[in-house]
Amino acid sequence: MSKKDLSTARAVLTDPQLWLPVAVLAIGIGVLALMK
Amino acid sequence: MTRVSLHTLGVFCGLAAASWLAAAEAPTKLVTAGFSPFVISLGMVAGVFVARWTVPVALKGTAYVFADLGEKPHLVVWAVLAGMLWAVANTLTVFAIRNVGLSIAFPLWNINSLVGLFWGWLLFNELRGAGWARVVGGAAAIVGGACLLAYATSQKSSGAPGGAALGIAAALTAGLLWGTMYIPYRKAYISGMNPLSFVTVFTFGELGTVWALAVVFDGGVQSVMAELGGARPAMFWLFLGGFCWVLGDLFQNYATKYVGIARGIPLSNTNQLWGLAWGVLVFGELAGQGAMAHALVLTGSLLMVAGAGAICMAQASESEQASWKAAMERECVRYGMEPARVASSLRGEDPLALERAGRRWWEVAIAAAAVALFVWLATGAKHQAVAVNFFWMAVLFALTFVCLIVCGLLLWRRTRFS
Repeated sequence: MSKKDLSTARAVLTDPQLWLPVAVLAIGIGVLALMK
Repeated sequence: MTRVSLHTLGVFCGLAAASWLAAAEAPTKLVTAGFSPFVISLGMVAGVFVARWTVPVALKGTAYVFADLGEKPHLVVWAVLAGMLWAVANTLTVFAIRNVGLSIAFPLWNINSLVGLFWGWLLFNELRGAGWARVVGGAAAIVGGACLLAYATSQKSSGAPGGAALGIAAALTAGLLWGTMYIPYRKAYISGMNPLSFVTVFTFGELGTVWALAVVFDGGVQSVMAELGGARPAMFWLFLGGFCWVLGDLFQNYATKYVGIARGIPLSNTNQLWGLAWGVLVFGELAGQGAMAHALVLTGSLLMVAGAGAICMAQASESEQASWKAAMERECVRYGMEPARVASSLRGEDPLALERAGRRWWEVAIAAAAVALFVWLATGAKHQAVAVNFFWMAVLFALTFVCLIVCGLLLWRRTRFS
């Protein structure tokens, strides 16, 4: 993994906007599990 | 010749998206009942996957798509995430319809445009200026109109395990997921990515998640494979539906790029109007229903048209465009992109195309393989026992193609599909 890749990965993981859709996705999977 | 404004272009894209997203439902309607909803969804998404690779390759070429992705590698994560959100939301709607019926489920998940509008305001500085009331009012009218249409055209719901509460929860969650899916969309376009590049990655998240959900919920890999084999006579129609859906979704992506989430998504959600036209005129769905149902349909349709009209006229003010620019610059700082280059792409220019012209031989092979797959599926397709009015089907297809040609030409002339 190059230095640039690491820097991109860090920028993605520390982007506060990322965790909002991730949390919503987790809620969706949780509701699906309940439906089953 | 005067150039069309980016607002007008985005509005046209939103409206064209509505026509093609509705047309996507028509082939799936031809599928005879009896298959698992997961298999139907998987078949359609497989068609979507094929189209999502073929259309971008045909329009821009593989070198362009890979260069675009290489320039903004962080968006690969966002695109896969968006595909996953779509797939989980789509599966939730299957359960919502099962538990509470379409008339209750549809209005609930249709809140996705209001959710998207809220995220657009909160995260991307949309609606920060004069004219926001017209957009919010227009979106609310479209949701209200959709509720009336769904209620008027609904069929009886079936009793199902889990009860109504879980069905309502599923529908609301689907709306939340779809509304949130527009965060990655907007994220990609304020970074200057081409929608054609975005969807080629989006589809991996989409297909992978639908496949995983089918395996988990439908009895394992062997069971899913057996059902897919059994659905072979219907697979052509599902692939065709998937292809139409991709065209609609591409227009939706361009609308998001050029007018933002808050305006683009409510406009593409007017697909309910087109869906109504298909249902009533082609499949005779309102036949035998009383005057009340017709009155509801008329009121709901007028509400949606009024809402769409309000949004069409609500061009982003200078102060709102300055807010969009601030959001774009924030992305450039975080991900090390060149602001001038991104701004150029947001103006509808295509700096990458000037550097990455040229085609590769395998692009012909990709297109040929996709066509061959469709032809092979067509040879095994069987006539489905659904009554269809061919005159109205031809009229609606013709109108939908007019949308494709007009909007495609506008996009080509103004942006070269940037």
